[in-house]
Amino acid sequence: MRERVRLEENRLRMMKIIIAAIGLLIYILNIRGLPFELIDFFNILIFSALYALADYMEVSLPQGGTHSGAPTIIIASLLLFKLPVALSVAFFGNILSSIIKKRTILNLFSINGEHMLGMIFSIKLFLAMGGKVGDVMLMRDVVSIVSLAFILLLIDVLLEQIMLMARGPVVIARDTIGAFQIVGPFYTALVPIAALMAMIFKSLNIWGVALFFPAIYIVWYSYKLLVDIKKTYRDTLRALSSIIDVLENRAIGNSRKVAELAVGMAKMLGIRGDELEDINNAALLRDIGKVGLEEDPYEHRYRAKLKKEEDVDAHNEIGSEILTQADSLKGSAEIVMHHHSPFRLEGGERISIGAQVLHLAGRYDDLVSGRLTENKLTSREAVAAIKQEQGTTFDPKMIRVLINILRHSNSYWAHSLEETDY
Amino acid sequence: MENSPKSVKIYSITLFLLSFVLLFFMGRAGLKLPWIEIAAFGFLVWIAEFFGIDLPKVGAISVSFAVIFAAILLFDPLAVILISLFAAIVRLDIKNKTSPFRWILNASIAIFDAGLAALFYKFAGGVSLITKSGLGSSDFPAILIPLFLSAAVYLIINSALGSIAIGLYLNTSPFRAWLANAKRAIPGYLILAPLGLVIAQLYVTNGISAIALVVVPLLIARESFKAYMKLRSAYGDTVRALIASIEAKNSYTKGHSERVADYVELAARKMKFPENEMDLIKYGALLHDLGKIGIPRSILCKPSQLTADEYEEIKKHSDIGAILLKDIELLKNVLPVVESHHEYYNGMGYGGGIRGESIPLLARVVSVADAFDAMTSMRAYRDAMTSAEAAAELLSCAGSRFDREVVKKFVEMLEEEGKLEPDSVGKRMEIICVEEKEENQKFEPSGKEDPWEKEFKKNKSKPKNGLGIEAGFEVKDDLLIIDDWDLE
Repeated sequence: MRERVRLEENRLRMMKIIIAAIGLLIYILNIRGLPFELIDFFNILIFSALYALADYMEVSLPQGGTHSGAPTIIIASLLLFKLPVALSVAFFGNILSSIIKKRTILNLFSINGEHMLGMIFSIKLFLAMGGKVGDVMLMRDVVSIVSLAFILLLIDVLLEQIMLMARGPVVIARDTIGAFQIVGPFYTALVPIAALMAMIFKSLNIWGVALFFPAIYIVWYSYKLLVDIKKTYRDTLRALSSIIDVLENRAIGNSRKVAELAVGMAKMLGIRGDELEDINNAALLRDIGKVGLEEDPYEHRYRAKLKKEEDVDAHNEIGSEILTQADSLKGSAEIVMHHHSPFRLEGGERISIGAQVLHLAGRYDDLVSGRLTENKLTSREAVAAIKQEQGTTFDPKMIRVLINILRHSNSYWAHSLEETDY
Repeated sequence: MENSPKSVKIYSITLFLLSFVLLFFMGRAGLKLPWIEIAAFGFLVWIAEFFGIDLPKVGAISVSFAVIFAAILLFDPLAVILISLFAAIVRLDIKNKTSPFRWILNASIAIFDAGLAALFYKFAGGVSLITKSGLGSSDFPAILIPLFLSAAVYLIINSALGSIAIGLYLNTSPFRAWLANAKRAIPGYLILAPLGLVIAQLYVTNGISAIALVVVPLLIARESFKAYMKLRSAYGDTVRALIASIEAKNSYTKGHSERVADYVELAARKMKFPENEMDLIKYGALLHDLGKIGIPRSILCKPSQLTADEYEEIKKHSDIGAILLKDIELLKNVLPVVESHHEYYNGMGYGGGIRGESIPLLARVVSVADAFDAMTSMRAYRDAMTSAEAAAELLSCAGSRFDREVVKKFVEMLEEEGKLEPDSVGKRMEIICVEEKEENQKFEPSGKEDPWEKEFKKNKSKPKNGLGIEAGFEVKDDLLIIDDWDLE
């Protein structure tokens, strides 16, 4: 296992070095022999600083990853300056930002390489479509600006996929589209801002940027508020899941691990965005319906019902009923409802992927933590036990995904659960 | 405003008439007005107002000032006034059928602030950006002076005229309202005024279509902010729904938690805790025993006295509760309640071993309410006490186990609520009042700031003195440490 991890790291390092080398080559080829004027140095200075500032103010998303405003500065400098100047802006801006963030040299240069590649292709397209650098007219240039931004994003995403390839299997076309769906809306917002910046900088120079800054700051601030409250929400659901864990006599944090596994499987199946969030929340709160089940009169009603139809797990229904009460958990309610159902319902209808992965992840966890059997099973034994229900309870395809993810993960799922003190 | 006082009506009409005077003098210059531009900018102002976000408590956020300010930089004062009037149209909520006086008031405020700001811009040496065909970087920083003056005039007039109306309406000092209003508005103006300049400049250099681009970032800001507000309230609802469901099914603490929450709420009202935090206070009280879900039921529901080991196990529940809740941002302020509700004022309790005023005030209140409810409810091994007996017990432990002041307020609250017959515990109260001075000084308050504590101190009543009862009253400390009615 450890050997494979090292192999992947080496491969990743090689990719980064190649991209960094290409980027440096592009940079040197373009800078060489072109005389800079004094004003260019001034502009490079300002825009590199802006780049670093935008990168510094990046917003980290609750589901991982970050949104940085730095592409705005790159697009604006491409629209405003000659290519060597724009390349220098990206180059030095990146160095500045890397110093602030204490990135390693290799990371710094590979990011630079990505930028150089993207910039050179996108500006060529922009010029070919009749755009004029340094003289942006909105009505005339709207199509070429959009294509410039599109190519920049495309190359950025493609290079990222190549990097990911070093880590594991990637289906380039599908994953690229997936990534586009995630960053696309954000880019769409950045491009008009970049065009505005180019226009206002042309007439007012640095003053234009200064005037524009408060408005941008507000945009950033409201966006950050939104992202932060999303994060708070996530943390809270996690805390609630710990409460449920305790009530269910499980180790604190157990639901969180099940959620990780379920989300990992869903990701592998190409699920993105809100749906992923729903699966995560459903996994965290899947047993809320079980809380204090013995004593509640509400529960007796379900117990009575249970005796009639023995297959129905009452807590699924109660849980999904509770979750339906909160607007933002409606998507999860459906998953909780079916998280113990066989993958094909009686009518032949399939339950949602979210419910399937949660069912499988929950079962796997039950087996390795010894809740269903007398002893804790090892991963291998657990998978073997699950395979016995292949085609009846679980979709064979899902089981393959589970095995795949277990092979790739190195830490937790190889062991069984460790118990905490309670 | 339907039943607005006479003074407000008179004020509105006077202002309206005055605004006509202003219009008349401006109109005399006989300017040719740019009607198309007025319509376009007026439309933008209207849109900006229309897309404003209502804040949950007071007021709304809108960016119409940026457009009006752009108009000030571009057009003559009369045109600016006409553009600014569009903002007044939306503010009048036609659905609500606001009274005509509000129409008149808003219209005249719109005329005054925009008109005077535009005039000031001219007086301070500002030139229309159209005649200059756009600013250049050489115009800076000189141009900032007229810009600043004009925005300041707008801010002052706008907030002053509105505040006078509010002052007349509520019969309060308009000056203070004006100061508060202006102070609150300053950050907005600092952001919107530069944006107005950007809009004006883009309009001159790139035409009206460039302004459409400005809408994009503003729309993002608006949408994010709106989503944020929505999510924030949804967040509260979710936490409430889930906690309620956990608490409702946690049957061995259910009735107890709810009663304690009720007592705490009443006591908190009596102690003048901030009204807007009452919800949080109730959650804290409701959840104070949450940690018991981590204690084996065999111990919790044991019908006889507990052994020392079992008691140690029970003691863990305040820590467990704190661990469970520590990541819930919304409940951050009530965490100390869960953690410290078994601390004694003299430091002999458990939960972290703090004492005196370093125990958060709300935890001290919950501790009293918790004990009171435990004493007044039945146990397998003893009968329930009457309220009066329990209150007397509380009072006898005041200063040792409980904070005197809190117990006093609590018992007063019980009397007011009709749970005790008046005077049944009167004697004890007096004793406490005398002793308070000496006892309470023993414990130094922690350096930590407790917002509720501060509020409470302000409203704290002075202890009555000189009742002539000497301290013949002893606190039996060791009896309180292993106290059975504590072991719910």
